[in-house]
Amino acid sequence: MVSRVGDIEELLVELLGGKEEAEREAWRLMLLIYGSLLKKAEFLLSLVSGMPSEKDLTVLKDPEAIIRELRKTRQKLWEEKYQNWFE
Amino acid sequence: MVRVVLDSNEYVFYIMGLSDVVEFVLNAGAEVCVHTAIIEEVWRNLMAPAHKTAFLSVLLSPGVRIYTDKLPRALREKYARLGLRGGDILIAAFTEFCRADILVTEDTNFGVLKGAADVPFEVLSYRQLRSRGL
Repeated sequence: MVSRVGDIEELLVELLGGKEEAEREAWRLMLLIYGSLLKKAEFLLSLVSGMPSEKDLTVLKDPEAIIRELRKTRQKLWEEKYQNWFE
Repeated sequence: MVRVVLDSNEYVFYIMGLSDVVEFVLNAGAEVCVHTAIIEEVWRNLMAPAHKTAFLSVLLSPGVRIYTDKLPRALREKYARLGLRGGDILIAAFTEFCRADILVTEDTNFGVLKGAADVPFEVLSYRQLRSRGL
């Protein structure tokens, strides 16, 4: 099993018939492997970029208090926009 | 494949290190469905960059599917009729819409759905999910 970057490099050189060929194809392979993840990241970042950060719930230690605060946020969002999310 | 919706409280507890719900569900091979409404609820309540990164990292997992769809109005009426209020209606409607098998939440407001006829998913706390398994 391949477990290190060096192992992957060696394997690629072997599979593609030489170091030069492996280097030339490296970006194409990167895009093939990570392309869908990059698209998802781009979509996700554009999604959250329009969302404000209002408070830090993680300072609360009591789980019940966190749930109560999340209910308040849910109510606020419902009033602001949830009703538009039905058709 | 089992589909799961995690309520916003589950993400917050996970990010705070109070639970390992995300790993448990993803390692079991389930697909996690998340609506933008849930993302916004969590995002609005995070300030620390490390916490935001942790949340983004969860959402970027291959087993997490993000939905931006509008939901059928009939589902809104259905879950209002079953006793849910406000934004909780949207969470239940989304859980049915994405054909999830389980809604995982620590919020007792969803208790009204337990045992109700015509609800095509289970409502479980993380503790209940863990002891029952996926």
